[in-house]
Amino acid sequence: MFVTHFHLRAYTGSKSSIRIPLTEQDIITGCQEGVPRCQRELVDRYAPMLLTVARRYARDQATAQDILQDALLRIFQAIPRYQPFGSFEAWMRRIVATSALQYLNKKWMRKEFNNLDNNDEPLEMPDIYGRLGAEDLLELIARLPEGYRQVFNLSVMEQYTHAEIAGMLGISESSSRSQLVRARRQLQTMIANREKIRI
Amino acid sequence: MKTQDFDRHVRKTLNGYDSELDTESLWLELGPKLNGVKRSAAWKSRGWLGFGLLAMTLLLGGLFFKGVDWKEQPAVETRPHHEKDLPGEGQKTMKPLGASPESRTDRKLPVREGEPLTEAASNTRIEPRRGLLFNTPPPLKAGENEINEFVPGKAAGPEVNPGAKDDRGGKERTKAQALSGETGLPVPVSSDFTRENTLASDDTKKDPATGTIGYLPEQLPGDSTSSNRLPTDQPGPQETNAAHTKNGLPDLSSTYDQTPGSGHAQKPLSGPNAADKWTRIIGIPTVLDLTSAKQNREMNRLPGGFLPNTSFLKKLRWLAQVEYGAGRPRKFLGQHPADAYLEARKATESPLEFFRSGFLAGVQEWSGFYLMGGLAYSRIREEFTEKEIITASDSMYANIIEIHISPRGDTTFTYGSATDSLPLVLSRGSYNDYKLYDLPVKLGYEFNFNHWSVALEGEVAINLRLRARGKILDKQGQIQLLDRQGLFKPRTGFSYSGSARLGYSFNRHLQFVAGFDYRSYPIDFMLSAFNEVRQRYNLPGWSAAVQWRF
Repeated sequence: MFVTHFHLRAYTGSKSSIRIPLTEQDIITGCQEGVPRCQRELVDRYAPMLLTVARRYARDQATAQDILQDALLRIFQAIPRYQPFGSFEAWMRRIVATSALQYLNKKWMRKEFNNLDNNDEPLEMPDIYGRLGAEDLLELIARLPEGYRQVFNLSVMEQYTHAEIAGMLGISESSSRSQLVRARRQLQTMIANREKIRI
Repeated sequence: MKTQDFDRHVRKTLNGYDSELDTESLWLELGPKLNGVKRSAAWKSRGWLGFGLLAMTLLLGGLFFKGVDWKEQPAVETRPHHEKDLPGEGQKTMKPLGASPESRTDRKLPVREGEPLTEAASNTRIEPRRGLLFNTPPPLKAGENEINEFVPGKAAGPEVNPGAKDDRGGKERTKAQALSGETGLPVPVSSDFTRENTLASDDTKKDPATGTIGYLPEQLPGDSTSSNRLPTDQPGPQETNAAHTKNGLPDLSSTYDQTPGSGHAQKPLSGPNAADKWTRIIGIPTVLDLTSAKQNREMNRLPGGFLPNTSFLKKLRWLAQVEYGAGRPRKFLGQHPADAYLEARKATESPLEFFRSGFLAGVQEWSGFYLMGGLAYSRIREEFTEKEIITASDSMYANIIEIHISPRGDTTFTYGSATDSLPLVLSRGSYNDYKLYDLPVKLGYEFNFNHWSVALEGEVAINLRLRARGKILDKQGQIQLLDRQGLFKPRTGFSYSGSARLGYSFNRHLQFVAGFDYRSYPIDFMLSAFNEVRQRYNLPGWSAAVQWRF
């Protein structure tokens, strides 16, 4: 009586051939109530998108899947406290990003940060990105050094400020800025090389 | 391409992109790990509530049974609730109904043979377990004036031991014998001993051979078998005060009834009065007991009667109570003038149930009034039903789908499947929860009848917080979330309730009460800025509580 937040009978189709899709609110409430079918629905619906987020931070697919599993567990643990302010997807993406950062080796990352120099010169490139697909882009991002990749993701994709990134990664704001510039430059270079275009 | 354009392009490419993923295998790996998080926060809160109730019950039980000598504990303790705290209350040692005859024979009673019995000593009894002498008040004469004039300890003799303890470790009190004689409440047998002295002086039943008083073997009325097991090798003078049969054993038929009106010529409890025996055993009040309890209460109210020179604080006893209640809420949705939106709200929201739990502590005054305050949590649950009309397609097979009539008049039927579309109403239900955190203040009055009590109480609760969760229709017919800001008040103000409860005391400390409550939240739950519909609740239901009296 207390567990089912909605009529699972209709969802499961035990008496009807009509499969009624769950709304996002149904999934959230069901997961808060601990309904396994809602948890499964969350995985089915959002895990591919969240895997994309994890792949941006991970060097390879296996690491990304590990990050995703860890993040999903955190999501299910935290969802009873979820407050519906803002996007649910954004809330989950932040958890994946946080999980990814904690998963990766920060010591190694700091070592890499210390060897950076500041070069804010933007790289002008012809418009070759239209031909670049999401899988290609993810593959190239994965080739970035660990520190570059994290700062790039946090700044460009998650749109954190440098102050926030510095706080999250334990580095200075100037290091974050320089890291971002270098990451962007290296990514553009890789894209250009991929397209056989010399800058 | 500028830097900002590059970033925007990367975001646009990657945001919303779904990587290929075998969710089936991911779920297989993830599912077992979710066992620990499957229980929802709501279930966890219920679990904690249940655990708290259980822990409180165990704690109270443990406090009560701590240090209990099971051999000496009475099977039933019949006494008024306020007895313990009333100064001057009688020498009521517990009657060990369940004690074995062997345990009785082990008692070594101090015998003061050869000593003359003074007047003070005639009002002194021997505490059977420790061999201590206690003063007993002079026998009660008929009439209230004498009752009011009685002051415990006034007739203390040379062998009084006022600091002695009773069987339960508390201070032995010298309650007026009149109380035990007039309350009509069954009194433990050891007080029979006291009364025996009274009878001895009044009715000259004191043993003329020794003139001493002694221990009356504890006995249930009619328990002839155990009476025969009483030792015959210790017929000391302590036992001579009880009425004896020809063979020297105590005459158990002279166990005394303390029915009011019987006066000092006590009639035996054992015998045809089965109701009294029944009351002694299980504590169910009879009509006679109810009457006597009423009289007892009236007597207790006499100013200066049994509470001489007692401060107000000493007339109080502390209470702690854990309570739980449930019921079916009655929801009020009103609007003036009513419109379609009100009807839509009524059609989509239906109250289901409510739960309430709380912890209260307070004081009870000796006359029966009590005041408690604490913290309470209420949860009102209702069902929200959203309806949607969808189109369902159905195929009908082996039907005539075409009829062809040739120029010659031949008719050809073509069979096949036909598709039909039907409007289908999809009704989806979900739960709405309203959680309220209250500070209740409860005032009640309790009538005591031996183990049983009836209480009437009123309560006013200040609402600390209101949390709403679920769905609601807005005026545009769209579904909104209840926890949207600006929809519900953060607190409702207050609520009030009345209840009638029946209680059963297991002992002087622990009481279980249950009854009916009617609670009302007179203030609107919703902010009027959202809509004009007023949403209020009345909560009729039952409640049960475990109460500990210190």
